[in-house]
Amino acid sequence: MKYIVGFIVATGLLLGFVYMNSFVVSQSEYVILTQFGKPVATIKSAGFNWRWLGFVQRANRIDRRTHTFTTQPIQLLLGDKNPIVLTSYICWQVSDPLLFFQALISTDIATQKLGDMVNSQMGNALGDFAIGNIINTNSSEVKLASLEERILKNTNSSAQKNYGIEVLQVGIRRIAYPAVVAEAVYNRMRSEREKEAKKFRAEGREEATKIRAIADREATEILAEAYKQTEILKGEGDQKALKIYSEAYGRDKEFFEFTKSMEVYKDILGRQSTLVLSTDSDIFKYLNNPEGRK
Amino acid sequence: MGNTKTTIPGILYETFRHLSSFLRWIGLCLVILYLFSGFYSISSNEIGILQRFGKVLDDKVQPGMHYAFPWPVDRVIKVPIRTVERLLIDDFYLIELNSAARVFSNMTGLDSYCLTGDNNFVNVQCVIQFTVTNPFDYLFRAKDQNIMLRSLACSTIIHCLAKMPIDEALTRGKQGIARFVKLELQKRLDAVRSGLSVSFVELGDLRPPNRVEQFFSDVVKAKIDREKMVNDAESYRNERIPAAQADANRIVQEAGAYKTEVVLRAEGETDRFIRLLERVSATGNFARKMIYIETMKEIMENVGEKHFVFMNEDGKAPARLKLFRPQ
Repeated sequence: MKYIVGFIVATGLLLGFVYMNSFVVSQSEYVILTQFGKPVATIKSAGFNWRWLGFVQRANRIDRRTHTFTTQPIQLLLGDKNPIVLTSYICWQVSDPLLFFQALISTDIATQKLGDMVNSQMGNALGDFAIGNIINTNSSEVKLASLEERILKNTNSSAQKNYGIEVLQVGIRRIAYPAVVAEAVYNRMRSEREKEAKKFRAEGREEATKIRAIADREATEILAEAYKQTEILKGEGDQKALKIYSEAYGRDKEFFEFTKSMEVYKDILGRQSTLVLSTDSDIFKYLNNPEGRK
Repeated sequence: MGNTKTTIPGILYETFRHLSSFLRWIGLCLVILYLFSGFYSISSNEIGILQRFGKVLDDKVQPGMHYAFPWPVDRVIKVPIRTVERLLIDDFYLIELNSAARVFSNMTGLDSYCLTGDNNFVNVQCVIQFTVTNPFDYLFRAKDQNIMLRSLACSTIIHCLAKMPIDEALTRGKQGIARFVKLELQKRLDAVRSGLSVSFVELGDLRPPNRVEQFFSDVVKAKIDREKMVNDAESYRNERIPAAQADANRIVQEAGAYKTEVVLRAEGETDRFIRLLERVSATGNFARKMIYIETMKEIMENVGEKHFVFMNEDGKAPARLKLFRPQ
């Protein structure tokens, strides 16, 4: 019985001792062990570790995961004096925990310092780039990637040396123009579109006019061709008829004149005509003289 | 020690002895329960990560029933790996309440847009669908994955649109943008060992900024107008030419008819003439006179108004004749 009590008490004491004098390092962190504030060990691998009592040795935990943050927007001048407003993101992680611990202490401060570094690097670097290197329809002229590369390289070397931070990636997250420039862009976009719309409508009108004109011309041509054929046909008919007439009438010209005249008289003297006729006319030869007039 | 059961310490001791045998059972049960708490299960859409004192022993514990030492020795974290998560990237979209675009706008007072290669603005919104493919990296190598993903995605979109003219972006470029964003974003995510995989990039909306949108839609309208004008002209042509052909056909037919008519008439007339001539030459002047008289008769019958005047010997008319036609 006493053993049991003793065992429980001993176990309790042991666990308490172990708890007070140990700590666990997670896979996602580094630990700097300090003794009365002075770093004595850097623990980089995860697992169970011993230390002296809490007030003697302290485990300072440093997050080793990759952090991402966004810089404050900053207005900068490009090499061709175009102003742009930029925001970047930075992915970083602690590469030298001891240096990081001694230099900065906290993640917030690290963020601030890195942001300042990137923004000032950006200011320097942008002087070598024109707006045509930031945006361009010719993709080989766009140098965004090399700009980011350059910022990354410069920031990384400085951050690693001074703060024990490795910068993994720097990227531009936002590009904007100051309000005045943006206004000009809006106006240009507007006028470009208006021009384009006008162009389309003018093209439509031109095309339509052309089609109508061609149609009119074709129609006129068709009719003209038809008239030509008509005249030819009529001419042929007239010619043929004339030939027939002349062949027949050639046999007795005087009799032809007579018969033709008779027909013409019939045609021209109709119901509307007024005929004043002397009784001397040949037709009235027997009107008052059965023997006929001489 | 015969009085141990009656003295007060004796009674206490007895009580404690009974109690402790009871407690022993309870203790044993507790120990067993404690040991049993090490059983855990991983469901089919998860991967488990087994840590012992913070150190990862196994980062790919497969679905099923498993055992690990209980707290505080072992710890198991379950990571959903088949769940597709969605992140809306609206940094370049309209400034709405709680949108990411608003944050930037509040800081700078500027509109939200993305620049295109030909120096125009567009509003773009897309949804990134992603899954966790490397639970170890996801848990221990990257912090704030959503911020990371959003930042990287924004940068990728900027890179993509910086090379693209606005007309392409607004029309046929959408798929290309989505493809580029997916590839480039994955490359960047791998570079920072985020443990995430982009499964799909859905370009939700891509359009000109509100302020100039009407002018863009007017261009579309103008294109339709152009089509319409051309179509109208074509239908005019389609009417005009057949009509002309019909007219042409008609007059040619008429001319043909005229030709036939003229020739036939000539043939008929000459035939008649020849017959008359034959009769005249057979009967002398008789036939000729008959024709004259017949013709005169016909004329006299037809003419509406006839006046006959007797002539004097000198060939002068005895009276004047006034002719008028009632109107």
